Amino acid sequence: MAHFNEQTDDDLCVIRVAGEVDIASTEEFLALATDGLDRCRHLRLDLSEVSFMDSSGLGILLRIRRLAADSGKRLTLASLGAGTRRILQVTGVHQLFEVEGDTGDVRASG
Amino acid sequence: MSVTIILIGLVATALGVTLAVRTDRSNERRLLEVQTNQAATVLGIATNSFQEPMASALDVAASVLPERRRKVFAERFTRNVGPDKLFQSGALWTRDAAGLRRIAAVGGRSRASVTGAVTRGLLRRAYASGTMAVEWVHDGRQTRIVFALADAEAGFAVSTERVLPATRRAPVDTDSGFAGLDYSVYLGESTSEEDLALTDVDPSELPLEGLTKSVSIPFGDNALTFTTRPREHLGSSLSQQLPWLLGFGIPILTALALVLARQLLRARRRAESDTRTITGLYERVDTLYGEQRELSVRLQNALLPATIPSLPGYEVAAKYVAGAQGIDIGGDWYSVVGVGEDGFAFVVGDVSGHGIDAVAEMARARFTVRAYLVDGDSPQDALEKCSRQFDIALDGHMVTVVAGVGNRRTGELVLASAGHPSPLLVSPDGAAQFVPIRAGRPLGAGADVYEPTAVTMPPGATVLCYTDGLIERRTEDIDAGFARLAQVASGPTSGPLEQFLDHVLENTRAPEHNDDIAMLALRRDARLS
Repeated sequence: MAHFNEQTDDDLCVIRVAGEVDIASTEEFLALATDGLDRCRHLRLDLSEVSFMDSSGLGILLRIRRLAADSGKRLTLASLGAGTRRILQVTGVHQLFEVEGDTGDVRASG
Repeated sequence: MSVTIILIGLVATALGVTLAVRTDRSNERRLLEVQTNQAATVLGIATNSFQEPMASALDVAASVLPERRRKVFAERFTRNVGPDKLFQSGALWTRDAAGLRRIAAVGGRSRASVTGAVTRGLLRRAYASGTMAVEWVHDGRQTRIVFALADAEAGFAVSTERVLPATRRAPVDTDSGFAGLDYSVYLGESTSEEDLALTDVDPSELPLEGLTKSVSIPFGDNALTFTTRPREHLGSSLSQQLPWLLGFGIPILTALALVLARQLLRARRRAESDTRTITGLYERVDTLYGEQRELSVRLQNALLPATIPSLPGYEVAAKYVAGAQGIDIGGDWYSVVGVGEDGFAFVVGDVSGHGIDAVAEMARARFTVRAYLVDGDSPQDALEKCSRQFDIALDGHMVTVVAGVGNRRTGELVLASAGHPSPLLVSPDGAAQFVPIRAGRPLGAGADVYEPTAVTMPPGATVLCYTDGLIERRTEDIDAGFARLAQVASGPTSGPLEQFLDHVLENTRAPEHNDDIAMLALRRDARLS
């Protein structure tokens, strides 16, 4: 179960996500992100503490991305852990996100 | 419970009333006794009023000169004699050798013949005893009391008569100490009507009945029988009313207890009923969940191929494993279809999320991808077309798909992936490696262009497609899952393909296996080339 931590600046909302991002946490995650996108021009999802993300969690990331795009807001992912980055890569969605401070290698599958 | 309370109430009422009645009775008896004795004392003193004027007359007779005795007696005693006086007649007597001789007389003497004998007898008694002798005489219409008192030393005696009034009724003053008593006074021991001296009740009601008390009161050398009966309750009104209070009070208390018990019982029944209702609701919800899950499972099973089409030259096996026991059934699926004369196509996909709408979304994805593939599209073209038709913002789900199109005769295979983990290719010698597909966007994440990846399956080679439930574990990196799958799947695979799937599933699935898993394997027959 993921834990969410919110922090708001003038133009930047940061949601720090920790723990497992799966079917159990999707509703809360989506609601928080939607709220962040309403209030700020830039929503940053800090995923450094994410320990696990399944396809449901990934689906929520994609929905948030879509919401941001539709409302003309900026969405960035920050501090991706290796596992999360790998999931994004395996599922072919890593290129869809703007990643801040992502210096790690993206390993090839297989 | 009600019966018990009623029984207890009845027993308590009976005991309480009995005790109260007994207590009240004994209390009344005691009070009657006390009051009667007091009254008897008063009455005994009252009888002295007869003796006192007679004793006075004797004193006078002894102190005056003999020739004046007659006159003085007549003058002095007259005030005691008359219709409404203490006596109706009186006489002074003397005794000498000749016998009794009347010296003087006051009041009527016409009845003397009737009482003469009695009087003389009484006088002799009086001389002998020194006390007042009392006797009574009935002469049909009247009752006369005859008194005699003598001074033996001086030789004088006085006799009197008192006629009892026709009505013997003498009501007790309401302010007297004995206002609470009915009484009757009889001459002597008998309680016959003619011996009745005095009463406050209608003589027809005599003798007094019920709770009564009789005492004998000395009356000269005779006696009076004094009988009383409480006219009203002598004790406190509480003592009298207690039996009634208890008689009515306890049943009322019992009724109250009964009502209370009924209410408690009803509350308990309601609670039990509530419990039953709640249990029923839980069961119903459980049933509904069960029904919904069953519906989901049936829907999913309906959407999964009942039989896998046979592909000449290939062995095909598939497996679907539901994960969590809730209704959150997943949207994993697999599909195999023949295309044209030598071709075939297959798909393994996964709709993110769970539940009935995930299954519905799965159905849509499954038939859409399949339709393009059956139509002859390459996997990459089919996925590209699909990527334009799915929108996660509208559907709420992300769909990952790996699609492949093969040629039965050549073993050639073209694969494309929309965000789906790469299939594993196991060579005839048992070496396993993931097909290096560069995955495009999942369906729903926007239109994309997908890269085809071509591989050739040599005879005896196996390709395994699966969904992420097979490799993902919450506690580890996804690459660890990939590595484990490759390790488990490697090695010679001589047995039926079904067994291979079971082996892989057994050894890779996470212990908690709460995610759905779909697996599809195709093995090219070894004997064909």
